[in-house]
Amino acid sequence: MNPLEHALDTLLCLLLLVLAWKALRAEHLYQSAIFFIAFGLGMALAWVRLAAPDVALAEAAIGAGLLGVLLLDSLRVFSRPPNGSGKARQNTDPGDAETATATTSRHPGARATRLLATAAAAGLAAVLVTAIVRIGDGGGLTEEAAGQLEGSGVEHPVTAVLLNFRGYDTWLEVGVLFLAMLGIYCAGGWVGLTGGREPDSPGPLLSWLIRGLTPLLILTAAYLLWLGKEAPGGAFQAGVLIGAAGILLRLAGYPLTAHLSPGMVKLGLTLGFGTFLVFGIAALIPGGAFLEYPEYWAGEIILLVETAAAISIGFTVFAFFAYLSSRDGSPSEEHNSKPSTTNSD
Amino acid sequence: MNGELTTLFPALTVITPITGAVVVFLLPARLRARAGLPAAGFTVAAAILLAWGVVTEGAVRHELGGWGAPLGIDLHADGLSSVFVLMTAAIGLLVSFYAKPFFALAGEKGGASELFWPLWLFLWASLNGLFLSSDLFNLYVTIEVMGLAAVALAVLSGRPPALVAGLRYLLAALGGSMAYLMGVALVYGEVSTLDLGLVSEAVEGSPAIRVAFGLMIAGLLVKTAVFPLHFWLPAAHSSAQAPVSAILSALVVKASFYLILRLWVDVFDVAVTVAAGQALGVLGSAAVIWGSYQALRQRRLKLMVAHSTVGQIGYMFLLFPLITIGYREAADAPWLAHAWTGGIYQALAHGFAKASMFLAVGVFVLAVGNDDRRSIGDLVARLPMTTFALALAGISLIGLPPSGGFVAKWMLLKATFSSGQWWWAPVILTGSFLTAGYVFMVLRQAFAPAGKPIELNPVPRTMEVTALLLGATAILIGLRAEEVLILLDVGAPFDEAVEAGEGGEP
Amino acid sequence: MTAPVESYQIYAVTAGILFSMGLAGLFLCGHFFKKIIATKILGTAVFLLFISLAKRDFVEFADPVPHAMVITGIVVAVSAGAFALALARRIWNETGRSTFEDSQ
Repeated sequence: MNPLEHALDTLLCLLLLVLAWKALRAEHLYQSAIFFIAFGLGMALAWVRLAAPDVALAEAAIGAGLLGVLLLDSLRVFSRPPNGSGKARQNTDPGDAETATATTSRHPGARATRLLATAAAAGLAAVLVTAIVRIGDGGGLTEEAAGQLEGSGVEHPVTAVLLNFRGYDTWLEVGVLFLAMLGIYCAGGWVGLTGGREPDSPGPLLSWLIRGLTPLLILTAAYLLWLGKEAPGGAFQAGVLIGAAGILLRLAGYPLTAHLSPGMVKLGLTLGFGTFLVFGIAALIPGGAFLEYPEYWAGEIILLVETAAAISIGFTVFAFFAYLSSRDGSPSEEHNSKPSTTNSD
Repeated sequence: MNGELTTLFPALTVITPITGAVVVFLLPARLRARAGLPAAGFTVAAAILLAWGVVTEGAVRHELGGWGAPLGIDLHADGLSSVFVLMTAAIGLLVSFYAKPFFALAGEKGGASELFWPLWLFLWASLNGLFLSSDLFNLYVTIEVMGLAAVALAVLSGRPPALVAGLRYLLAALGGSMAYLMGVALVYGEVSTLDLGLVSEAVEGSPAIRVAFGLMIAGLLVKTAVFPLHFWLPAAHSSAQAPVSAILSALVVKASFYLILRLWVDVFDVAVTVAAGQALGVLGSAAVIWGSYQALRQRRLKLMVAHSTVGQIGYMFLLFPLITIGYREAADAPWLAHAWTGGIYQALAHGFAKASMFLAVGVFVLAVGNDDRRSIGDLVARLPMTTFALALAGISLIGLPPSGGFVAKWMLLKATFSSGQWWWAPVILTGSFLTAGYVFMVLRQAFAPAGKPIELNPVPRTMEVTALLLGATAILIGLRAEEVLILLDVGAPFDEAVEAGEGGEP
Repeated sequence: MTAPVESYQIYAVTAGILFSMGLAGLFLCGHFFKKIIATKILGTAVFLLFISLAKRDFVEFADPVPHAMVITGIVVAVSAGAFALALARRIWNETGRSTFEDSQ
């Protein structure tokens, strides 16, 4: 093992720990978010060092990229006074978001709790590190995967695991995205993408730039999708690029959601999950198992399923952003007065 | 694997509700409730098919994608998983019948209640998926599906208290599932397989496995809301809407309990120690006392019922110390099967009773307009069926014969004495007394004459009937223990079966 | 496990420390926003352990099963994070609360 590489790895790990620490301990939310995004980028480096280019792509696109956008957009919300429509508001001073970010709390037992928790965390870290250092030689499933790769319909082992060997997990994971959107609907108290505040245009130059960038993003997404067959890439990375294109267009003031009918929104959210499901059930008809793809069609089926999944993922990612950014400026008139059947106060 | 029959049934119990969820979501809002009930019906049919398959053929398996473990993911159904799938089916169906008129009324009040059906069917699929999954990582995915769907349902009303409770629930659930997943990473690093059966063959009590096991159990304890990790439960369960509260309290916390049980006896038995068993017993005991005591103090009915869940979950954890002492040396010790059956019976009986109780309280709230304990005066005359449901559910929670709760507590008591661990007995009895306290307090209010005549809102008949049916089932499973035990015996970890009906007549 | 230390081990140990930090952060941070960041750090720690152990099992390629699991995990974690952010934003907008303190 090359000592230089060793030093590099150690340095990167220390950097990651410091960034994570800073993200958790920074005084202002804004710093916290920046440190966290930096942490995400550092992680992308770590994935590359660990020979995990697929994970690096996913982390950069979804972990740091999408979540970063959502976090920064949320900062905007938390740094201005709440807009609760004259409802019973806690005595928090509006505009007090910064003081609320201070992690120290004022009540007397807090210091002891903090010390105790820190000690517990240190203890846990010691236990974990001991366990990790003494972990045996597993060997992994690398050889099994290599042995079965032939029958999977694709050449890239990670894609084979994702879309075929453990396709059930991936199917449920596309379901989780769909569920999260339903959850966001519930949190927002309103179902659907249309009817919210439409974005303002950021000025001609930026709009022009974004409009030029969009086809490029879509093309890259298609390329990544195709590439997933034999090299790092695939539905998730491609999907997030499609979503990014949508988010950029929205930021450019292009009223995308206005063109969507409720039916199209529903279809966009369920297309990927549904396509998976249809092929999964179709496999049952000749007596196969759920999600069992016949060997000579597997490649084609996987490409089809991935395409549908990528479109759905892109749409859902866009929907996360569009829904959140269009809702929280507007007073929520659907639920401001009528008591629900489950009275709680 | 080892000659088990490969069938479609385990997959069907997951596919059916999930297909229902997608179809219902795509339908226009006004058709959803109409399509939701048939989807629930098909799911129940799939569950019955599965249980029938297990009774006639023994444990069954389904290799998803046709690969089979260790590379692929298997679904595996034995007696234990079938019992939980069936319980979910029975409670799920009745709650679905209740939910239809409930959300027809609530739907006029805004919020996102049109999403109830897709979310609930999705949640149902994840519960079945969790009971059947034989893969550590797939279990993580189903846990997350379950958690997200459960939180989304909990905040369906869109009201601020529900939102705050929902966020706390979500963060607790995420912390719990990450601890679980950390354990999975360690296990995979050590034994290079994720299939429960293969893992149990491969693991030894090495440090990494012990730490992994501890992390997984700790994460799941958060999700099961075992004292003192129950901090998120009362607010989340009580601020949700009635059918949702019933689902969360009766079913969702059982899923993580099931998984603890599965890991404890079937997968990581080499890592289990007597001290760990006693520790879980202590947590369970504290939960029994604390939860029941808190329930006694609550003025709001929904909070009372939610705290009662904390207490009743505690009973289920008394199972662990009882099956842990010496069980590897003597798998035929007589108390093992008693403790095992008692703990699982507690999960079943509590499921039915708690669902009934939340639905009954939902009826009260709908009729009276709030859930203050003092405002339900004279309801026995106005809503006799619902009051009766509440009484039946209460009997089972207390553990009076001949209810399912009685069978559970009786078997646990027997096991405490025959195993020599008598120190759990006072906990069981004290819990019953406290439970009797709050149940009777509510019933006394319902029987008391109202201060001034109150105008009751009309309540759909179906809602009253379903609450009563659930309460009746909580009693009935005490009388018909044999049928449940036949199913539970398939692939049971303990040799000696409990003679059927033994708990029925003390 | 005797010396020399493999590079995957450095990352694996980091994962253990990060996990504890994330857990402590989830518990100790006040603001919803930071609690959500803490869950993300917690998740990343778990993924890092998976991937570093996959590096150990490198034959002609690194073990693809943990890679696939981690991609799945990242998507799940981000979905949950987006949902949590949506809840936190709505709570802030409706009630002006940004912490769980003095609740109930």
